[in-house]
Amino acid sequence: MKFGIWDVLAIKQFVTVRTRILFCVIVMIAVVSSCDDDDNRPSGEYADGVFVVNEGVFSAGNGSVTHFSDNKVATQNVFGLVNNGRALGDVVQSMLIEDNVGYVVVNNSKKIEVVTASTFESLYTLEGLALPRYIAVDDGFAYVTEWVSFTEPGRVSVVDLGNRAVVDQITVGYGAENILEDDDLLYVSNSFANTVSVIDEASHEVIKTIEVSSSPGELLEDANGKIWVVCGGAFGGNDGALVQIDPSKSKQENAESVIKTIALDMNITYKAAISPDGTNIFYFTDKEVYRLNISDTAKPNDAFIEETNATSFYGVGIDRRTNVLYVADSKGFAGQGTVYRYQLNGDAIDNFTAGIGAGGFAFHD
Amino acid sequence: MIARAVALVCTLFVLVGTSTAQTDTTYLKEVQVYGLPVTSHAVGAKVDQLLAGGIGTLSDKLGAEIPLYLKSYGNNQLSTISIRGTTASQTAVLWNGININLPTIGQTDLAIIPLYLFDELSVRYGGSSALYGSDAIGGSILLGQKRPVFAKKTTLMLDQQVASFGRFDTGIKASWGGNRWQFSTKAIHTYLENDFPYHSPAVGHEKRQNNASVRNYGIDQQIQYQINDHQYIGFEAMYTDNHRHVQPPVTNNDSHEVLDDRNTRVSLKYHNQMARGILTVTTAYVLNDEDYIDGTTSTNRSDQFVLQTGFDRDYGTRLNIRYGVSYARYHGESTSFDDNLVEYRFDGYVSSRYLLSNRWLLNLDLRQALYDGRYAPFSPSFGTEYVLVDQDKQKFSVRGQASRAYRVPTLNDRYWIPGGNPSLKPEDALQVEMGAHWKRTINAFGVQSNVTAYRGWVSEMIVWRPTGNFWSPQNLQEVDLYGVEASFGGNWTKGATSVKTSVQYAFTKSINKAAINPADGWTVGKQLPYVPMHNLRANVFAGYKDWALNVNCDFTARRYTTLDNISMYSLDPFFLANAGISRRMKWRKLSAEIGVQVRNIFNVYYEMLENHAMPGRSVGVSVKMGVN
Repeated sequence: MKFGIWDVLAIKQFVTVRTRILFCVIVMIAVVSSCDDDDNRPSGEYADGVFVVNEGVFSAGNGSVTHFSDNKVATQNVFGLVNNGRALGDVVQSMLIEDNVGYVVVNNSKKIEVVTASTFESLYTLEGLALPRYIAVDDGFAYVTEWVSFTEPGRVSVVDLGNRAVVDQITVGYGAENILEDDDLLYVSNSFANTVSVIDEASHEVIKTIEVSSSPGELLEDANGKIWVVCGGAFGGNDGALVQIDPSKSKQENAESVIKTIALDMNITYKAAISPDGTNIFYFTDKEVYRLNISDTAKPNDAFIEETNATSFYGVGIDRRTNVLYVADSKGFAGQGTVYRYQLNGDAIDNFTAGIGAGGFAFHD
Repeated sequence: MIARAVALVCTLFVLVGTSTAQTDTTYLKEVQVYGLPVTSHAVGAKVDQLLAGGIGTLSDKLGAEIPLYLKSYGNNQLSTISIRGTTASQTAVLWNGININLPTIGQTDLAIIPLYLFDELSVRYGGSSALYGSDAIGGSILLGQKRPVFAKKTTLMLDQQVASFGRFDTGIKASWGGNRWQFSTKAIHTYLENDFPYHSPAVGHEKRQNNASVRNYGIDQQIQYQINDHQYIGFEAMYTDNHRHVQPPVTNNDSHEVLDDRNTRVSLKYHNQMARGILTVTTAYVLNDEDYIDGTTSTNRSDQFVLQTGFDRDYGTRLNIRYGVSYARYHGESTSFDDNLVEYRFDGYVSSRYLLSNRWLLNLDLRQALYDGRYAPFSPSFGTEYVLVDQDKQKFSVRGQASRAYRVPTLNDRYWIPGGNPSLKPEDALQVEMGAHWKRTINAFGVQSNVTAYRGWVSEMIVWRPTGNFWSPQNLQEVDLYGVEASFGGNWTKGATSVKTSVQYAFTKSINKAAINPADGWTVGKQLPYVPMHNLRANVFAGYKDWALNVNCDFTARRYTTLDNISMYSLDPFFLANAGISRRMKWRKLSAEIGVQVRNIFNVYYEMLENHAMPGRSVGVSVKMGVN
């Protein structure tokens, strides 16, 4: 075979084209991946750090959200600061961030303030709710739990986030509080009763009502896909408990959903947090935080953290980005709250000032 | 609106002139009560007497004229009092000598008490549990009717007022009688749409208040019978009904709460001026019925039955002792109580006044009360007054008082489900105060001045705290009170012209002494929430023949809303000014007075409680007519 000039030219051309293509592809990958990085970190004053949700004093309309940045700067009342001094409202119960949109549930003002999480600029307000408590967002819809009143059963309002309107209302049990979405089912704890309602997300039907312990609240999903219900206990009953339920039994009405019940022999606030790896649950009393491993069968004997300087712990949360445990002290609603920070092994880090009635947290998604 | 205005003009009523041209604002007389052993035993204490009987609530009256603080949830909304930096349940409100603070919450909503139905109103400052029992720590408010005069006389008075924000008041007072019988009827009806516009920084744009309308009506009937020249029996029955749409905070829309209060008060009093002394026996029944409606209705009902006797006796010319015993049965009913609650209370007291000399009066009061089988703190009170200068044109006296006062824990504090704590102790307070009063007349001018300084120590104060998912009360707080109250007044009369001025100033410190949590001290040394450090009221009244002009100003300093005194959580100081002008007319037996009032002339936006709007400028026209 003769290896002529045309052959050389052909090979050169082939190599050049391939190189060019390869070069373009490499550049494209680089560009696309850098675009991804930009999308993952939206810009804004409050794009980093964590948010503390402060209820405020009932009927004083002074609920607020505090921002604690990565370089340890606490900014009080970010909503008022960014939105011309406008008040957030009366009893700010919870906040959820999804796709950089912050949904702030203001219980006694009967509304949800929707903001851009990284800047806290107000986007719009969802009004006309009846004592809303917590919110879950899935697939373009928001599911808001509402107490409705102190004497009527609670419900879940389904909000179409596209046209910002309530499209359905699902009646559940008294005191509908926390809500968790798992596998196209919605779990709602009915805090004035002792049940958890299971709702089919597609049909909006309550397919099962699970009996748990008194005053159920926080719902947490663990490493094995099981759901824990944190029960505060009845007044004077000292019967707080952590109940583990099996989601695979949720579609079978007669199957026993409860796997185990860990009695705590005391009353607790029905808020809790689970470690990012889903193996340890952190619950609390006035000055102590307790840790339960999901495979434990009995309550822990000792407190995990004892904070003698605290007045009245009222909320807990774990930041997945940094693996830091945040515990809010409401200070009895007598003044500004304090948030204590710990490593997941219990070592204290620091603390900072939050707003009145500090009781919850919201973390960037 | 126009039709109503026309109707008003067509119905012209006349009111017999009372001693001041306007019953809206009055002149306070500092009363030094000594020399008359029968009237009051408040020696050494500071007492303000105000003119009652006008249109408006007890809250409106006290707020405008006395430098104390009213925690008001809006215009004509729930309003409780704070005298000398104390809490709403540390002031006793007495009707005919009976404490009408609700046994459930231990407080009175001053905005549901129409002042039109009462003849007399006075405020006694400082601890007075020795005389009036539980709750009289910061002070006592005394409401009542004037002593009957058994003479043949008939009077009729009619009042009508129309004011901004859809306000209409109509009132009627009639009395008639002779040497044996006296009858008196009073009735008042007030409606207020209360849709005032306001501009709150928390909202960002002007809004019109909604869900705040109030309808208040009341009727009072008195019948007195003179048995003979030294004995009489008096009967009084009063009913008030307040239908209020609860004004929501500025941050809440879509509110439909309604609060209905129906109060019935009946008393029968026997008075006998015997040779040995004066005997009074009073029996009364007070019923409070409250419905809170927000979708569903929850009812609270409480009542008390009281039997009180007092015997006032002179020993010689210098000593007078009053002995008193009372029995009360309290009853409370609520969806948050386990059962119907019934409680019995017994009180015994001795009050003595001794004239050491013409110039020096001493007073010692002792009281021991029993509530629900437990002893309330033994409360003595010692007072003294000394007149240094007692001339025709000049008077100067000094006074002092030391007392122990208490507040029994309420039925809600003890039995509310969840959280009630039956083992609570009563709140306990020790107070001392001293004052001086000076009065001078120079030709047509008169000046007077009154200064009081006080110091108090309150302990075992009940605070509701969150414990897990529920709130529960404990005797946690200790508060130090100290302050100065100063008033200055002048008057000048020449011919048909008269001018009166009065300025009242209060400096109040109410300092938290005990941390809620022993570990932290961030609340210690701080001013209690909603206690302004400075309070000023000023009044100018000018009269010329049948005309009268009145200007009234009110300055209230910054109030913190939390125990840690952060300026971010505080209410700005504010200055309000009101003015009014009126004209009297008389022809034969008819007299009339027409007046125009402007309130909040500078249209200031202010709040008494965080995020509860108060109205801006308003105008009112009033007409009074009387026949006698």
